[in-house]
Amino acid sequence: MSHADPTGIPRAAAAAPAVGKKDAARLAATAWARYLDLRDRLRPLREADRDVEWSDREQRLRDGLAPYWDATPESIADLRECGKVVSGVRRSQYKGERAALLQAQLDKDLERLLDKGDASLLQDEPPVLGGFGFASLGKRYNEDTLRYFRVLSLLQDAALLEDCRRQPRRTIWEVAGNWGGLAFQFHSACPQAAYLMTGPAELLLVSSVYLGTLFPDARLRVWEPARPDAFWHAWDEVDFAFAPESAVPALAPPGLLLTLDLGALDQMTPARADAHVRRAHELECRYVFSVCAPGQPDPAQATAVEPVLDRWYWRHPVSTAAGLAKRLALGPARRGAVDRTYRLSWRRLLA
Amino acid sequence: MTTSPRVVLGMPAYNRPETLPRTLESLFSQTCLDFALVIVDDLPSPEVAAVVDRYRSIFPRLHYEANTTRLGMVANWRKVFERARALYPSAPYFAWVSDHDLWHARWLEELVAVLDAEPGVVLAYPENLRMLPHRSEIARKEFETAGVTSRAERMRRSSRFMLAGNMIYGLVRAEALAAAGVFRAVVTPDRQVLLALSLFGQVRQVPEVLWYREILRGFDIDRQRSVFFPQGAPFYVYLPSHLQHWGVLTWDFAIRGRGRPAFGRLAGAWYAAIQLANAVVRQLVLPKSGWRRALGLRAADPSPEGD
Repeated sequence: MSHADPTGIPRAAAAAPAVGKKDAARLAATAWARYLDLRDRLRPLREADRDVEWSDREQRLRDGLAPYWDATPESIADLRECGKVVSGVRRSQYKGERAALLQAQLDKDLERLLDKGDASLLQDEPPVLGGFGFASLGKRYNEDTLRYFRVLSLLQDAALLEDCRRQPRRTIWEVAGNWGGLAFQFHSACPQAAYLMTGPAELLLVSSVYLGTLFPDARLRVWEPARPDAFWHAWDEVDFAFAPESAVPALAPPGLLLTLDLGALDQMTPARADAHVRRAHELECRYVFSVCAPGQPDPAQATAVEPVLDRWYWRHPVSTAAGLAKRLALGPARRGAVDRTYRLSWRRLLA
Repeated sequence: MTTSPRVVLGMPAYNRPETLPRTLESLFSQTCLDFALVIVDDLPSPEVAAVVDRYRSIFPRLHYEANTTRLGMVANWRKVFERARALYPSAPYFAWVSDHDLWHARWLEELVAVLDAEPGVVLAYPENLRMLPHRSEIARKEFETAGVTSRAERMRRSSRFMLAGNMIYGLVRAEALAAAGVFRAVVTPDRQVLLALSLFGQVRQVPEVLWYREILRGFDIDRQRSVFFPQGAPFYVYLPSHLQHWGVLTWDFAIRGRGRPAFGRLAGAWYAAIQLANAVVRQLVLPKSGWRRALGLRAADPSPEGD
């Protein structure tokens, strides 16, 4: 398969197809209004988390996103730019001559992922808020898109997505929920489930604005430090909920089925990681799905999470078909790395 | 007075104390808990007994029985079923479970739903994930006879295409399994009983991965003979397996007439003949068939026993 035309220019434009001018303006206005509202509601969470001992990587992330507390309408209209701080996926990688090389690599990954996974689970990178990526095989995607699709495919292989669609309504908890990309894909696949995110307020800000813009009818709820109990009131009316890390010991979402961690636990101290996993266990969350950060596995960082998981959950095999087994990180794979890359864990009854 | 559960799970245990806790927890975490678990241990040890004791508190319908003499795999599988029937004679459904596999929490719920909804189905089983020594993978292999009302056609399809190792841990109607003869003293007894079962109803595959199957080694018929018959293998188990299966089917249904009232002796002989003819064809075309192995045309593969 050719990935570039004879001139060497990538077949697809680096930026996702633009929406119409009118629509773009309308979406930008929606995003800005969402932002203003959510910023005011999320600001107090920074104070609520003042005692959290962030790791250096987490602090760098917070610092990188701090400008969003004083964003302009233009920067919110280009919110996907924040991805470079959160996941390291930069729009600039999708432009210029070197993009052809990246596209060649990602096209192969896409092909393999589609070969093994359910294509209907793959949501295109939305062309709003500065969305970007390549267009191949009828899909518009970037590295994050593939990574989240891989997570959904693994969850589907583990027969968990079907669980998430069932009644009574389930809650999914994403620990330190990145820029909202996984939540977007997950909600598209399982709109029935409530999606709870905890983590640094800066991440919650960009995630909530992104999700609130993409799903204008979605019902968003933000933790109020002064009224923590109100957070759980009428939970059936919540699509996305956002709480600070300091709220973790008090989390009480009804029907918690699955806890998702895309490399966040790896960055925490063992005590903080344990607090998260222990709380999931206390809440009778059946499954914890944990993935190393891009660029992992690095045993020095990954080992902190495994003992924590093993204390409360049974680590469990995931479908790691040859070739795709180690591809989630879309980085170099090593023999034996699979267990450190994906960890699907089932709740222990006798912990 | 306690009511009988609808399902009895029978676990023929054999010295896996290291895997047993996780296995038991995957069973006790089922969304459908309307079952009893009967464990018959063919190599009792204090370690296994201790594991079982730990779980009695959270699952009272747990029965454990240690064999005083080793029975071997075939006899122990039979005993598990017989104990299950004796303890819970009115439970309509039964499944064998191993002491090392894992089950998705919805496994039992989904399979019970199939048998409840489809009276013509005698066995329901899910897709599985194979837990190999160094990796795990989903090997999608489809086989079902749902909707096939002709016994002869079900026997033909089963003889040619059935994957016994994937099906034997499915949920069965206990009455049908008893009529089919449970496990017999032959090699690949799972295949034999599933062939017999095909005469009593249809098979439905649930298209979800709800069973995690440990596979430590490939199929080895010599090992089967030693594991199945620890007191010494009878002479006939050195015959080709399809001949052994044909012999049992003929004995049960053509001579003893065990298919009645559903079908008579003549029909039983016909079904056994269908099995033999199709099993011969299967043996000729199967990539991992005995003759290929004997001629060295097939390298060892990790395909599990019974497949």
